[in-house]
This record gives sequence, C-alpha cells and structure tokens, in this order.
Amino acid sequence: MSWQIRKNDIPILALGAKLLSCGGGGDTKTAESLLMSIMREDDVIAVKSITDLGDEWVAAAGIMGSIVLFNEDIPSGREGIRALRLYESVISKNVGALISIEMGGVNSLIPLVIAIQANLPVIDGDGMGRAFPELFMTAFHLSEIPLSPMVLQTHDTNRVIYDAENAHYTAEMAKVFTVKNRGHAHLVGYGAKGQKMKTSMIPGTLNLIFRLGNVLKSETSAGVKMDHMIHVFENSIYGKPQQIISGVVTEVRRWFEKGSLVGKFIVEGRSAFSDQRIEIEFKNEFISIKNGQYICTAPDLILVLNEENLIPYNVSEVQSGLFITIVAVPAPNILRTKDMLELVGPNSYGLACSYKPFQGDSGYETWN
Amino acid sequence: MKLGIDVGGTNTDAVVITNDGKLLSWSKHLTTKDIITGIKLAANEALQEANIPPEKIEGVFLGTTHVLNALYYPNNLAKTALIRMTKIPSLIGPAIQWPSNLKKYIGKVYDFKSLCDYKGNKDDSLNPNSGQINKLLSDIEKYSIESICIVGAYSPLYETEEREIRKIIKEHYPEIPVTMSHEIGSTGFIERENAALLNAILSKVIRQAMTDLSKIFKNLSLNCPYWLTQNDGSLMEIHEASEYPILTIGSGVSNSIRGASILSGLKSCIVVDAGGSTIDIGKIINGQPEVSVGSSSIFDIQVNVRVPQIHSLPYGGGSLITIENELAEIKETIANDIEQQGMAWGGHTWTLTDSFLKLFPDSFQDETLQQKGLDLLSKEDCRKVIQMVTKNIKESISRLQPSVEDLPVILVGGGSPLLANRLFGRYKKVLHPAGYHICNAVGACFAPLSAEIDKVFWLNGITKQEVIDRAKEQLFQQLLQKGAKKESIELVSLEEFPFDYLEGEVLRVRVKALGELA
Repeated sequence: MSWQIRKNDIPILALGAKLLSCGGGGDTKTAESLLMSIMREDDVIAVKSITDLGDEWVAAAGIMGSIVLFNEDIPSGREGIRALRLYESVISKNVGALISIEMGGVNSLIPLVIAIQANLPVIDGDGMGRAFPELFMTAFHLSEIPLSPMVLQTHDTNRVIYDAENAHYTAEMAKVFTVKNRGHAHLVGYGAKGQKMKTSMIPGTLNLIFRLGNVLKSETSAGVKMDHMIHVFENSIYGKPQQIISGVVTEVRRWFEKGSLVGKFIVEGRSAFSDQRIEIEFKNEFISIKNGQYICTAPDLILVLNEENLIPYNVSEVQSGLFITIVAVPAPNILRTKDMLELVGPNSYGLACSYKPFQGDSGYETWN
Repeated sequence: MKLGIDVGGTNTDAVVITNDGKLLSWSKHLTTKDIITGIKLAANEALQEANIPPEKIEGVFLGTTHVLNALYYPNNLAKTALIRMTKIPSLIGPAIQWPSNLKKYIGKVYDFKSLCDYKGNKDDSLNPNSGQINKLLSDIEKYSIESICIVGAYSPLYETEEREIRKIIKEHYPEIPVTMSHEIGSTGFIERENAALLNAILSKVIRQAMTDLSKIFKNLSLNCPYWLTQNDGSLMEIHEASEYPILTIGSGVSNSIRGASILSGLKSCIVVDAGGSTIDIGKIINGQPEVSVGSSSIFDIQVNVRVPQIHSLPYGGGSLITIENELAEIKETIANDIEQQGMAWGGHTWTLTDSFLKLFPDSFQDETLQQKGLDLLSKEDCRKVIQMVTKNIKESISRLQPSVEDLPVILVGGGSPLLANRLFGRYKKVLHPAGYHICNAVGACFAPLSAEIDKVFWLNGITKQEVIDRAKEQLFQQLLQKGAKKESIELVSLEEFPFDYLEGEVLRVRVKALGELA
C-alpha cells in the first residue's frame, strides 16, 4: 500500500528513526533541519511498499563517516542529489526509487532529502532494520546485491568505486576516501531492480519508524505509550518488545577504540525492579544486556529510553543519574539467519558469547 | 561586606552580608517593570537598615530572571544579522525550530565563504568575501541592524576567521555587539548557531540593564566591582555578562540552589524553590549546582550551552485554580499580586496559595489574612489541589535522588511555608531554613569565580597531557586575574572527546576551574 510523507511528518520520522537506531546511527538533527528547510507545506514524497515494486532501478542512499563532523561541517544540502546524478551516469540508467541503507538515525532521512530534490519515490524498507556500524552489514549484501558501483560525494569532491570484489573491500575503500576528505560523505550504491530489492530488503521499516514516532510524540503517559509501542512492534516483522528494567544510570564508562565509541553502564532498578542491577554494553550501538549473564545481544534491538516520556537516548547521551527504561525487541528473522549473524551477531561486535534469540514473551533465559 | 540582590518575577530582594557570612540586613520590594527602580529601592533599604556606609561594600552580587523573561515575553530584543561561514552555502535555513516571535529578530543572513581548510590553514590569496563584507557594512545602517552574530563551520577547531570578520566590523562600528559562535558553544553547527543567535538578540536587553545598573550603583555610591551569576552558579563581571547574556539566563535558579545550600549548611541537597509562578526543583552536590549535560533546550530551541539541571513545575503560589467537570485544575495564568487578588486576602481569584491556606490557615504569619474569603472554597477541592501539587513535587524530587542514599530536601522561596511539614512524613529529612524568603540574594553572595575552556586542539607534535596542562595553566591565570585567592583555585572537571574519521590526532578538551573571591 503506497502512502505519502509530508513536511509535518519529518519530526515524527526523525524521532522514530532515533528509536530504531538502538543508540547509534548518527544524530538526525542536521538532516531533519535540512528537510524542514527544503520542503514546502504542499510537498509530498511518495512511498512505495513491497507490493508496488516492479521493474524500476532502486538504489540505496545514505551518509557515512563521522556524525560529529557531519553536524559541524553542515552539508550544502545538494551532495545527495549530486551523488545520485553521478551514480546514474556511471550505470547509464535512471534511478526509479530510493531506499535507505539503514533505518535508524540519520540514514533514515537522507533518502528523503534526495527524493524531494529528484522527485523520486522512496521505498518502505531498508538494508539493516536498525542501525549497524558497517556498510556491508546489510540484508542487501546477504542477498548478493553488490555495494558497488558506489558513488561518494562530499562538499567539493567525489569518488566512484567500480566493480569491487566484495562489499567489505568497497566499504574499506570508502572509509579511506572519507578519512582523507573531511571525515564524512554522502553515498549512493547497492543498486538493483525492484523485483530483486523486494526479496532482499527488510520491508516496512519506514512505516514502522513513522508509527513509532507518532507513539513517542503523543501526549500521554509513559505507561500508555509503552503499550502502544509494544502494539506497533507486534504488528510488524519485529517480535514483541519486553521491558527489562527501569531505574537509574550509574557508573558510565565510555572511550574510543578504533573509531568506535565503546563502553558500558549500570542500571540500578527502581520501584518494581528495585532489587535488580543490569549492565549495558555499547559499541556504536547498545549491543548487550547482562545481569551477570547475557539476557539479550545484537542484532536483537536494545532500546534505552527516558523513563518519563520514552524518548530514546543514543550512546553518547547516556549519563549518570538519568532515569531510564530498557526495552529489548526481537529482531526480524532475516537478521537472525546464520549468514546474517556472521555479519551482525555478537561476535561482530567483539562480544565473546554465542547468539541466542531474545524471546520476548514474559520472562527470558540467560546465558554465558 | 557584600550586597546581594535577586530580581525575581514577583519580588526584588537585597541582603547585606559580612565577609564571614553573617546576615546584617535584608529588604524586599515588588519587582518593577524596569527592574531598576525595584533594585534601587531594595538596595537602598538594605544598606540603610544595616547602617553601613556604601564604601564598606566590596562587591555587589546580582541574580536575575530578567534576561530569560526578555525571551519569554519578547521585549527589547536586538535586530540581528547572521553571518555564516561555510565551504559552500547550505540549504539548511537558520533558526528552523524557533518560535516566530523570536525568529523575526533575525533580520538579515549572509553566507560567507570559509577560506580555511579543516586544519585551519588559510589560503590568503583569496578574498571572495570583501564584496559581501561591504554589503553587510552598508546594510547595518540601512536595515537598522543592532547586533551581529558570526558562525563559522569548524570554528571550535579554529577561531581565526570569526575573529577577523569581527575585527573588520568593529573598525567601522565599534559599538555594535558582535557574537562569535566559538565563544558560546562547542561542536555541532546548528546548536551552536542557535545559542549564538539567542546571545546576539539578547545583547540589547542585557546592555540596557547593565548600563542602568552601573548608574544606580554609582548613585548609591557603590564603587566596587559588580558581579552577575551565570548558569553554572559562578560569577561573571558585568562587562562579561554584557557580551554573553545567554550564559546568564539561569542565574536566578542557580542562586536559589546555592542559597539553599548556604542557609541549610548542607553541601549536597535537593532544593525545592516555591515561587509565585513556578516551583523549581534542583540539586547541588559538593557545593556545585548541577548543570545539564550535552545539548539542552531553551523554549524547545536546541542549544549547546549548559543550563541548570532543574525540574520546573509550570505553576506556583500565584497560579489560578478553576473547577472543570468537577475536577480542580491549575491554570497557566498567574495573579499579579496575590495579596491583592487572592481570596485569603479578600480578593476574588482562587489561587494555589488560597487552596493551602483553606486547609492550613497557619502557614503564613500574616495578619492581613481573612479566613472569611476562603469560606467560599470547598475543602474537598482544595485538598485535591494540594494532593496533586505535593505528588508532582515528590515525583520530581525522587528523580533527582541519587541511588545510594537519599539527600535531604531544602524548601525555600516565598511559597515554601505552605509546603513545610507536609511534603513528606517524619521519616524523610526536609528542612525549611530561616532566610528561605531571601534565599536567592544570599546565594548570589556566595557564588565562586570560574573559568572554563572548551576547545578542540590538534595534537601536532605535542602530547595530550601537554594540551591539558596548558589549558589548566590558562585557567589558573584567568582566575587570578579575576581576583581569586590562589590557594582556593581548584580544577573541578576535565573531559576529553576524541574525534574519529579525521587525519591527524584531534582532541576536544573541556576543563573547568573554580576559585573563591579574595
């Protein structure tokens, strides 16, 4: 079922994108401001859902690099469409629709910017179903949609990566380019026909962040919001969310390790959870919940929310003394397949444990 | 001796305090619309009551919500020109999330080209901005521009471009206020631009206030330094405050938190300040009022300056109560003067204070109270109002309580007698210290000096430790210059934020030191 995005929807999508990012994915502020600047009240972006996909050429768009630098060295706002035009000239085809690489954080919004400027539809789906740190950690890659040819575009320079052997190598070359060119770049790649994209993507995620954003924006109590949030996830390809703990953050430790923001913190339970103590580890995203033993790990979703209004926190915003609620959400099955777990499972984040799917009924099992 | 002054929404208070912390006198006046008349009356009276000559006063310490109120009810704001310096002009407009009644003060926007590469090396052969600068200079008069705001991408890494533009403007218009974004906030262009723009549009109201203050203090023969408290609870000299009004918007709240700590003698506590229009709940730990971390917001405008970390309930003693669908509701509107309008004083409006006095008539020692006026109110309705208010306050307190052990709660502010003895049962420690009604003015007198560096450094051939040591040394020198006692200077925080995805090692360092005024 197709639908449309309007200017008023942008702040809602930005909030939903932050929720699904699991603490990573990059702050949406700059991209949100850009969309609010370029969209007129009567502008609409057409959204194609899985059943609408056909022969058109679909390409994925996003940004990569340092979000701190992206938010400082603000984009002109034309990088995305320039990347698209260059990409089209490289493949000698017109792109018929855009899809998000990563439905979590800033990359949920970048395709919308280009869609407005190029008058293209966007697709209700993405490659990750949340945020992950590397370009190759996608369902596209798993379905053998090649990342290259890929176009990188900064303020003043660009680069095309042709026919690279594999997505890992393309991603590595893209990183080298980014580091050399002011730390961030727009990209267009992972091109495929609609029919192929249809079976490769994680479907329905744009609509999901819209529904989640609406829940978070609603003027109601945290309890009611939580019920609505659970309801939204239950009516999606994700599993039933479960509240793990509510309490106060203590002992935050955070450091940089090879370009990733790494660390952990403790949540001391309050009221109904008053005798519990939970440790959360993060590496770009929140990656594990432990109470001595593991309760939940990536790729299942770990959400860290403001206890009062359920507004999500990202990994750099968590501070000692905050009152938070932790929610675990079973990831879509496509992220839990053996091949995908090699890309995005606990080991890919350096956790020395095996993956066990978070069940999300009442109660949960723990493991080492 | 010190003169402390607090200009609140309702009252202006003044206190005279000896250097060893003894209260000699206090006075209270209704805040006047020009704020100045109220200050003059209150200060004069406090000085006379203390019976000391003005030359004995060694410093005047001021806190005010005046600057914040100028944003609340836009008043005396400056028409501002924004200069953006970026590699390529951006489609992102300025002040995107702003309310229109503030946004309209951004009169003109200029896109200048940044000539530096990201390491700050400048290509001097280019000068594409000269035409733009000339246009700006001629526009200043043409469009009656009153303030200028310069925001350069990467200015926290290198500030030279913002400084150069400022210098040129000042050569032609020495009097016009110029805000440079690198002095206001750190990385994050949009939030820094928001903060710098707010600072720029406030430059008129703060200058007016500071000029008037200087005049009054001269009239009162107070020829000592004047200080204003800033968001983190430390002192700024008046000329500094004129340049950085955005850093003073939280001065009233930070004084109240420090004052409660001084009055109760507790270095760590939770403070409930019950005022006429709001009830603010904040926290002080080891003598330092807590400030927000990361980005914060002012009227939903995201900024990267620190503000006091408080929970503010949107009502106070003067809030009006109505019954709707048989439920008592607290409205946003406020009685101007409850002692004229409140039912407990024979008036015709039902206020929050009336609701408490109906059930607890002994809360205020005020002979003008008339129990008769309150006869019209239902006890049951008043009880519901009180229940809701105390529940909200308790919830806010519990959010601020640290995990290990509950901190004592200090009640201050004009409305605090209504809450004393009924917020919690006996088992919790709640204090209602003497002097609760002049708490903010007392707090201002005890604020420390502070210096802070929040900058991005390139580690070109120097170690991280050297960068930090240099920053520390700079802070110590700044504090000595401001008049701090050498032995009192201490480093209170040091944070490092490394960058990824950049060639060469870059480090953002935020260091802060405090010292006592000698």
